[in-house]
Amino acid sequence: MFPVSRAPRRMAVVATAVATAALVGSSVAVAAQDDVTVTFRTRPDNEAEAQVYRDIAAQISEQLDGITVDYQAGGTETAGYQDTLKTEAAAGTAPDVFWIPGTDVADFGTRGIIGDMRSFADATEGYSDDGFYPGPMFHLTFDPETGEPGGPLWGLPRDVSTFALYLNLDLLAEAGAEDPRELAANGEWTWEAFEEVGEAVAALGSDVKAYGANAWWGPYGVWLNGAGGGFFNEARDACALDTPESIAGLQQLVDVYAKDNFAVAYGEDSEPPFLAGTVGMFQNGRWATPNMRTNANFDWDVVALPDGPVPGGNWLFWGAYTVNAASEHPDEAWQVLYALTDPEIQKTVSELGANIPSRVGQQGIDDFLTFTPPANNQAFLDGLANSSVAEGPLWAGSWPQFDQVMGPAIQGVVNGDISVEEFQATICAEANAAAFGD
Amino acid sequence: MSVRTADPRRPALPAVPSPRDPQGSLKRGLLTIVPLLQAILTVVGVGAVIALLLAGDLGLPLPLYLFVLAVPILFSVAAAASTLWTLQRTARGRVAAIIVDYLAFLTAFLLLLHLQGVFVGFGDLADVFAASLPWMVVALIAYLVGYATEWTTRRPTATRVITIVRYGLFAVAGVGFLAAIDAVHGALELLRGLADPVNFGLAVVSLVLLGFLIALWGIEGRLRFGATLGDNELLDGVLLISPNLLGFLGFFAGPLLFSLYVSLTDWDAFSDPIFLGLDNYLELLSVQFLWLSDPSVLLPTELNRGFAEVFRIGPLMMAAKDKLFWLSLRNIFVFCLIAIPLAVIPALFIASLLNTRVRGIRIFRTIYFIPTVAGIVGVAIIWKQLLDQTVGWINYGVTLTVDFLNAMLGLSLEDPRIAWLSDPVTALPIIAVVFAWTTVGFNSVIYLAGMQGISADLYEAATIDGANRWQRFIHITIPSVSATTFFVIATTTILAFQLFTEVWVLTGGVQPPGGPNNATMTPALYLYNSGFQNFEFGYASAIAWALFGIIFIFTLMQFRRQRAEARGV
Repeated sequence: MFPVSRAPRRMAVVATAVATAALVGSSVAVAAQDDVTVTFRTRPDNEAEAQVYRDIAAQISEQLDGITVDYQAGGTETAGYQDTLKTEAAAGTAPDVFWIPGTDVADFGTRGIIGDMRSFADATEGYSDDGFYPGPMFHLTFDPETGEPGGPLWGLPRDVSTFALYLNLDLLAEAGAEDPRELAANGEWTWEAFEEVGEAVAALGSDVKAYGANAWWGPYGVWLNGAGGGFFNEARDACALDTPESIAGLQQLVDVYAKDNFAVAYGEDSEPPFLAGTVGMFQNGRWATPNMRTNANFDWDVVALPDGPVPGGNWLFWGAYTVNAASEHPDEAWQVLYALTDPEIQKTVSELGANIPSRVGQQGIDDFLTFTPPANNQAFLDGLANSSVAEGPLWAGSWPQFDQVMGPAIQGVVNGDISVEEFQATICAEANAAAFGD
Repeated sequence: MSVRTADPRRPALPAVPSPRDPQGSLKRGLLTIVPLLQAILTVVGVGAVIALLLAGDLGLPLPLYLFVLAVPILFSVAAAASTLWTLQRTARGRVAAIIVDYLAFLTAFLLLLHLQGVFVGFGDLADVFAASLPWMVVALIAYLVGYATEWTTRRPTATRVITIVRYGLFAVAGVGFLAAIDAVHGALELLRGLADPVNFGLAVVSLVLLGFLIALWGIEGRLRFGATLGDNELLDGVLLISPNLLGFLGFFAGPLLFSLYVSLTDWDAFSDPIFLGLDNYLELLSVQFLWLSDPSVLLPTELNRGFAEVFRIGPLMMAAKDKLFWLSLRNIFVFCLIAIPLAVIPALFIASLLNTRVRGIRIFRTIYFIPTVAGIVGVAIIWKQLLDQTVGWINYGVTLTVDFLNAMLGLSLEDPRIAWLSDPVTALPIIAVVFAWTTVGFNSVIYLAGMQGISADLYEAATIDGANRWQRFIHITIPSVSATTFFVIATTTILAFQLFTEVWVLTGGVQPPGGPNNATMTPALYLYNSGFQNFEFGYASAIAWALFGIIFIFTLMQFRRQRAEARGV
């Protein structure tokens, strides 16, 4: 052990005291200089998208005085993005601003997880509900007490999207099928035309499929919507899966999957075989575009979904930026949220290829059309224009519980485990009991 | 009052500090007022009890409120006892005081950390770790440099240079590490938090209690209260297990009891729980059996409102209020029937092969154990890609095999193109295969340990009697590892009943997990959906306890069977 004289010890004590004082003094100085930090989270599909949001966070931090935006990349949907958020909200640790899918707005709103931003919006110069697509704004301003829109403001839509069919043009040409884009341009792109094109592709061999879609509510929902049916009644407080129109749509879906060699097995991921060049038409949203740009080694494009008996069956998908109801800085959080929906910021996000700006206006549309490939971006805009069904939350019941009953039952019908008649006889009793407590 | 002396068989005590030692004086001063501290803690505990009584039920249900109230009551009783005993200067007074002070210190310190927001920042640790990684590498290099002195023992100058380099590198790594994790900013944040009077008060209380603890624990404290070295060893033991014990009480036993209470309520984690009694269990377990006069009828009129069909065999139909729970039970029983034999029987044979003395056997043992240590999510993702119907390697192999057979034998076999994970018939069995693949390595190692305990004399005697390898395996190995078999089956059954991750990864992604058509829905997955998607935590807790009951009954049955076998019944 080294001998320690008293002089160095005294010096050490003095030095420690000076350092502590300096630290305390500095901490006061830092406290005076520090911005309000607003945490912000989305569900990026990949690192490139996460980086875009980091850049946007830095850009907004520069724009807004006294506010620093701290971006957190959330997990994927399969990693339980919303489940994590809700759990964090229950624990009081959720971020200040976060993105959620449109279907979850009611769940988050009724549980008090997201705050009503109406008073902040009203105090914001230039803000108007009309600046965004009306479909999402209907749900984002819905008042569960009156059952009418135009009341609170649960958030603002980040983006909108809709389904299209991604086409393997090489495969279609090899099959000698008619070009769906031309059929659509001529107003002849119907369910029957879709089947004819598909049958030509399916005839190429057992390892080639005409059509693929994944087994969640979006892809099968368009068949029900296209026949004039839907998931819910008009008031969205009861199941409508057993109506004749819904059943007609379901039957069409079943027929498509029952055709020999026509569709990728229901429940299998259709994207890998499409990218492998063995599927002619792949139904998905705009969010699939970045992956196509990167990994499709064939000539590809998109076309709007074929029309069923009732036009306008496509979905208008959307997701919303919302503010944590327990945020300690709601005013700053609103400023960040509003800045995130700025046309220039939306353009930056949209350039990734994964979505369409949620603000209405010609400039946004003109910008979007330049984000190619696909060449036929107009197909998405047509889909939006024709979308009569906005993805929507369920204010009168539980969407997750409805989906937990509906999804397996539809899959059972498509796989042949349940007959369409049995589905019609039982589905709404089960779904209403689960989701609406009837 | 007699002061106990140290056991003469014990090692000699370290020298008693000089009365003029300032640290010793401080400790002795603190020890003098230990009874006062204990009295203050008693008053604080009683104050907390009175405050809780005055505050009413705090919006908590009665059982939870009583539980909360019990904590300060027990603390007050313990603190009061420690006051009396420390006044009497008894060894048990010291033990009681140390325990009470330790708990009070932990409470104050953890509360301080909580108020400082330290626990909220745990999520950032990964980023901090990544930023500091290069400096940790420098520290590792410094550590390795130290080994160079092994070769320079006879060259003091070289040793000195290496030592200087080593500590220089450690210093660089330390400074770099602190800079990388932004330690100054962190320290400033902590200091800034102390400007809050409550935080400051808690910091002072923590330091004071820590001082008392050090004084009580040290040699002065031991001598003052006449404690033996044995008492100190007991306290050391308690201190060592206290993180685990407190962790167990706080993070396992506590939540376990809480979930039992929650299972009797309707609670969504956001609003106050509503006490329901046994309603959740009644909903979960309500079933109806119908004998249908017309089995083709789709929705029998006799079906109770709110009930849904689970299955029907001929005219017999079973319906339940919670169809999904019963479907998940059916699935998990089927899964166990497939998965447990697949995970246990091959393990027995693999262990038998691994229990041989051949060159490189350790490599094989490692290889078989790899699936156990591999991350289950990563393993499941790879299996998912292998099992893809259209671009998966397994179906590709099947296609090549079919093509080969058709070409070589002139057959016209059709490529089955099995939809492994999207066909309700194959989905659950293939998940059982994946489960078995991940479990069999661990079971093999357990069996291997069991086999290595079998006396070689038995095999030698059997060989002399003319038993062949198979007969030795059947008549010696298997009976000798029966206790191991019980352990392996019991643990595999428990694991199987808790099946979650494999189903989540293999069947999720493009559809909600548990498909197709609920064919792979398991109780654990259903529990997760109920709790974290539907936010019905009361109901989810009831599912958890029902699952616990089922696992408990099965384990008990296996125990009884094992005991009966051991008795030769």
